[in-house]
Amino acid sequence: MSVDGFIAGPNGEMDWMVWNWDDTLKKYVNDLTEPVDTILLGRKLAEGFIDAWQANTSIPEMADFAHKMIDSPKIVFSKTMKTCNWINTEIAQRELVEEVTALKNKPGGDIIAYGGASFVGSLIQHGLIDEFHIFINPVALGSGMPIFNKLEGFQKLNLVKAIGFDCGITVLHYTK
Amino acid sequence: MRKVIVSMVISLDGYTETVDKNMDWQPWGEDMTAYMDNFMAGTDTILLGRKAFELMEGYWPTEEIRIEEPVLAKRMNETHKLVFSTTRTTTNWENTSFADRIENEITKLKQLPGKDMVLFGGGELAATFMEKGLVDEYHIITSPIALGSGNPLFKQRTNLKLKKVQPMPSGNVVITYSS
Repeated sequence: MSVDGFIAGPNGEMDWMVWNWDDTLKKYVNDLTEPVDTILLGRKLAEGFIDAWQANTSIPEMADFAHKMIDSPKIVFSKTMKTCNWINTEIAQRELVEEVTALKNKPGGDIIAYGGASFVGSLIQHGLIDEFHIFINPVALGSGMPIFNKLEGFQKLNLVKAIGFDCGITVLHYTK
Repeated sequence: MRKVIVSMVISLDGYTETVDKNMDWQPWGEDMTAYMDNFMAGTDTILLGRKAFELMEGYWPTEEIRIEEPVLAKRMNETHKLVFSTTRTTTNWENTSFADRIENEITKLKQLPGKDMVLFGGGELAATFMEKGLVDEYHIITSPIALGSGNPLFKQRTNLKLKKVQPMPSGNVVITYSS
């Protein structure tokens, strides 16, 4: 996220993000994603990124993250798609609240969502997110894609921890 | 050399206030008063635009606030205030002076010995300073609340360098960046 709350530029730009994570941050991400067994994503992010993650496995600083994205089971939420050809991916057959609630009630590991903005905005709007690990990059954008804009009132969160990393990213960890 | 520091409380989604200028949502405890008192000890000048100045001149020097908020009232009343205005030139508020040419004044002040200068952000003066590249550091006090909509602090792309992260008991996180 940018300092001013955007997870992408107005046209989905991500060139402002810091990717040369230092080892401490990499460890933080590994520890966080170790117990994850399901990734949720919206259709737009899926279309934009699943193939891109495949390509990113050849970019050294993005390889670990890209591999995790490809290897983890994914559920894509779409109003238009019923099936897909992406590896380790299925399309949710129920609507958002029903599907996510059912998933949470099943035994299993953690469920994670990385975006897109509209999809995560809906998860937030319906109160479906239990924990936030927000990676604040050292840049303000002025405009872009927000995730809290679908809220009907204020959303108060509880700070668990805040850590600054050498690469310039600050991680803010909140619970609901 | 003396620094110009923008200090501002913002929501998790980057707003300084709601669209109808409500700032009541900001959590503030003794931890934040202590933080602000300590921060201001490193400054000797408060930079103000006319609107912020006029709100403050009717607040900080009053008997009521001197009693209710003794620590911050002392800092706000005793620290020198420099008001940028083309219309106001006098006030009853102690330790206040006026200027109207921002770049000239700030360039001059930065050459002189002294402590840092603070601009409590959010208003037009902060926006002008940011546009003109006059800000050396940002002390962003990130609240653990998302508002959904509001008035943003940053109006344009601003590249920053992370200096320090300070989580506070109230749930705020003070993140310090240099320009």
